Amino acid sequence: MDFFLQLLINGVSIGFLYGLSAMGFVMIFKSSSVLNFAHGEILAFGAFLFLALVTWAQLPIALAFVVTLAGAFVLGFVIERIFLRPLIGEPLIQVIMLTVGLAAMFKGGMLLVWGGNLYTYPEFLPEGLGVNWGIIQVPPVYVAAVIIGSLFLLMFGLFFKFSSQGIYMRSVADNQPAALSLGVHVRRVFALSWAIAAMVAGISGIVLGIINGINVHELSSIGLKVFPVVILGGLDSIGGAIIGGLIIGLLETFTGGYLSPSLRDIVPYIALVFILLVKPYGLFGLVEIERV
Amino acid sequence: MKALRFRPCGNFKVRYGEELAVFETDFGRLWAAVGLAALFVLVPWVATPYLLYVVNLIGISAIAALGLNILVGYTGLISLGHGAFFGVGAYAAGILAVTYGVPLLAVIPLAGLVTAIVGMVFGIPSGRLKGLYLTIATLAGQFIIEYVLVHWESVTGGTMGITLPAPTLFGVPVAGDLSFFYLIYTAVVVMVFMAVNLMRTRFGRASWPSATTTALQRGWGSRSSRTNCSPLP
Repeated sequence: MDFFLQLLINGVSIGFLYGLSAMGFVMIFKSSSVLNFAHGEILAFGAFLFLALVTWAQLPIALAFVVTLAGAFVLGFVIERIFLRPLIGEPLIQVIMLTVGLAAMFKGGMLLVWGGNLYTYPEFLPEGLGVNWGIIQVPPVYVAAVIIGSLFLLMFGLFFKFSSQGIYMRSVADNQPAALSLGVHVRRVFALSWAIAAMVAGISGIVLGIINGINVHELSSIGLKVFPVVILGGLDSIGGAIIGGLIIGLLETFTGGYLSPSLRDIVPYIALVFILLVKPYGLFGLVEIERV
Repeated sequence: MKALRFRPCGNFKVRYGEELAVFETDFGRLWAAVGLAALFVLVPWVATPYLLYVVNLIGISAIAALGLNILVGYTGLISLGHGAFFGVGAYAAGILAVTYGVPLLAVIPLAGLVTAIVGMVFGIPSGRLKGLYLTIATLAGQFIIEYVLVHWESVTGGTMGITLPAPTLFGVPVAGDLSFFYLIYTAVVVMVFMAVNLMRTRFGRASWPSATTTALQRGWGSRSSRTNCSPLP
């Protein structure tokens, strides 16, 4: 029972982070229909930027966090401006190959600077953050993951619901030509969605870095794990991304705990194939009826 | 048309067959022959051993890319799992050659067949999907195949892999970069010839505009995996 609870807690907190990174992915897909294969690399970039700021520049944690978010925001903006904007309206394959290339480029750059080693952040989470109720023991990291996850979820919920930029973004996702004709600045929406997605990826990168340690290969493979999550939740549903993330996170930790640790990394993809077979548009995705 | 002109000035085609001609003029045919001659005679003569090794790698990649080219370029199906099929072909060839002692000439088509069957396993569910979803399915295929190759130790040898003895072809042992050079580039030429001509068949031309039907997909799956395996012995 102890083991089960422990796995449950791990699964939920990992799932929250998968959901959070999937949310950024979905945001890009919704506004500009681009599948971002470089998502994991942006996530790793956030984690490494935070590492550099904390250990090399010796910034205080809170400041380093804010600067990392700003850095990831700018990175997303720049990626959109330089690489994605010229490809608006180009066929799918060009855009996909571009993001695959971006992924290779970022990964290579990070390997060049930091190498393939495993780094860890200095301990900065207060011990008191951990939960210790008899049999239920939650390390501070997981509590932080859940808190940060839900906090940003709430913030994005409010942003999309009430701010004018958020409403513009929703309108572009809903119907691009209509939004364009009503005076929404679609290009700015694209840039903003990339920037916000990169920022969210940066956050999940930092928290995943606290949990698992920071390694270029490990963190960038999370970017591919986003695919089972978003397919399960529905490619264009932000809430679905969170629920998909939770399901995939739980599936992964329970497989790792009860079946085999090596199967752990592969089970999301097996789930992905099944979902694609049974319900390709996911739990909350928009069903496009199209004959193949 | 028959003269050694660079390109006819204007469209003088009078038969549909001419539209499909591989070489529009004899000029192109001549230079293709010159290039081939230079490749097979000059390159092994001039290249240093390391350069020859690199040239061989180029040939292997070219064959693999040819399969991907047909799949992506002509049918518009984006595959991110091509490397995994490359691996399946390699393992099939290795197991056939080492465990069952099959000769090289038989290994190549048999490994192609095995890869085609594995390709079809992933091709059948993919038949319902299109565009983005198919791309993601191939990505999943990549991870699952990689996992099976590494963890099915009794067959694939796990992370240790399989070490192949030097194969023999027509009684001549194929060892060293020079003999591999001729083997690989003969395969390249044959494969390019087949690929170019495949696009001129009824099947190939039909796939050009329509791009996404299940039957085609399976056909291409097997085709691309076949091209995949050939350089592997």
